[in-house]
Amino acid sequence: MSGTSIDRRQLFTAAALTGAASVVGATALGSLDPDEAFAAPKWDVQPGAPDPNFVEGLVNTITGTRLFVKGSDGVFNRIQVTEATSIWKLTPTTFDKVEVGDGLYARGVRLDDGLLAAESLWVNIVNLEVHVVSISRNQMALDHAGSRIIGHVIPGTTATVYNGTPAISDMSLLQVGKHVKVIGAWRPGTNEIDIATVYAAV
Amino acid sequence: MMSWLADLQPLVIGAWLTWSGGFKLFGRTAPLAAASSALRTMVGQRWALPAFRAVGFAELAVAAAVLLPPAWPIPAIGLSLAFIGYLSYARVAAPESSCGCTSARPSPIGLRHFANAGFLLSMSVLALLGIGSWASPFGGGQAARAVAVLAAEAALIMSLSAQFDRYWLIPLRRLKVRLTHPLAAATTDAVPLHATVQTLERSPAFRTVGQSLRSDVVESWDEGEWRLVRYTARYQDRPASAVFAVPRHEDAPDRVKVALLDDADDSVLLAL
Repeated sequence: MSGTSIDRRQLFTAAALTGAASVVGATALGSLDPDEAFAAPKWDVQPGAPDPNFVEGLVNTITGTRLFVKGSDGVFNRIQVTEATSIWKLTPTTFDKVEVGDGLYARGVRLDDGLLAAESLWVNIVNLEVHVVSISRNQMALDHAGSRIIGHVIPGTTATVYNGTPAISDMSLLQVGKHVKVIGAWRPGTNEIDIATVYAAV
Repeated sequence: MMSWLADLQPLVIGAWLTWSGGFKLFGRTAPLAAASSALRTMVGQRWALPAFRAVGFAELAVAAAVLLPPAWPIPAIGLSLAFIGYLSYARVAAPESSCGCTSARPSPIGLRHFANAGFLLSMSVLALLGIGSWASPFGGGQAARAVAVLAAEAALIMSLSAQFDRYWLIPLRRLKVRLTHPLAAATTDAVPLHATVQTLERSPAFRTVGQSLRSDVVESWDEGEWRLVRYTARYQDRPASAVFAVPRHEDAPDRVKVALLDDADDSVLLAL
């Protein structure tokens, strides 16, 4: 749950950078035949039923590495976080950054006792189509279908994608009055978000 | 003085109501404005447009009543009160609706609409004090003053209407941004992680192992010109880590490398 130790990172780095001695074909990971790939049902979700491997809601309590989450439909869920779980909260982060009151989306594997073994956790993530109302120091006022949202720019973290090209940190091309899409981390209980990525057309 | 000012008001009220009523009756986007207005909640979808047109007709009739001498401002007072009532109803019953007053541009009902309706009401009440002829204030060498008052009132109404913002408010805010560069601090030398992930997701390496990935980005770190990005994966039913090495300073998907390591003993299961 804390970051990988330095030793393990060095091992990972070495493996990724030097391991390309033998290029293995895609077939090493299984057949490329679509019939075979889709033959076995990959997901145990029934048509029309909620996806059992997905949970959303607000964090109610945190016990050790277990989260007790209340969904927006009132259903409670338990989520087990492990060493292998990816946790996003504005950036990829660690479990100790998750707090009571945070909203989250979790995807993983539902165990027999109803516990969700999480593989990915996105904390407070929001995806908004907005208009830029005004821009002030490291802050943007955004209009989302008539509601005002304050977007905080975090230097060093916030990135902007212009016209679908690779993300850069330069935000100077954003214009007041224009439409943008924003991925960000909601600040619980407020109308404010920290901005992770802005998608804009210029 | 009061009576002089009062006699000017019918002109402003009349012009405003003619504009607003004309839009509702003849505007190309009037059906759109009707559909997004609170009339839809009030009288239902079927009758929203006829009701919208009827309001437009009433506005034109009231405009005629104040403009044709002698000016008769009582209907205008009634209309302003009805307008305030409509805004209050919309604010409570259909907060997501637009005003739909003079354009189809979305403008959720807020303070500016109430200010505008209140201004219409105060102009109508003020008009009661006049002698009923809007031509008289222009006589006696006061024409320039009268024009100035009309222009000021028109400017006030336009500044309270969201549909004109793009002509003055947004350019002003853009100018402020151009002069002050409020987001300049966001520009750093660091390559955003998202740029790395964009490169990674278009790489042949990702296409090959993508099916085995089970998580989003777990962590990332930099090593020289490379950025390492780790995901959780399942490989032949064994928990594994997928570690991608992505060139950090160029968008070169073809150079992306990947290694899959067994989580149990860190042995390399696959590398390409």
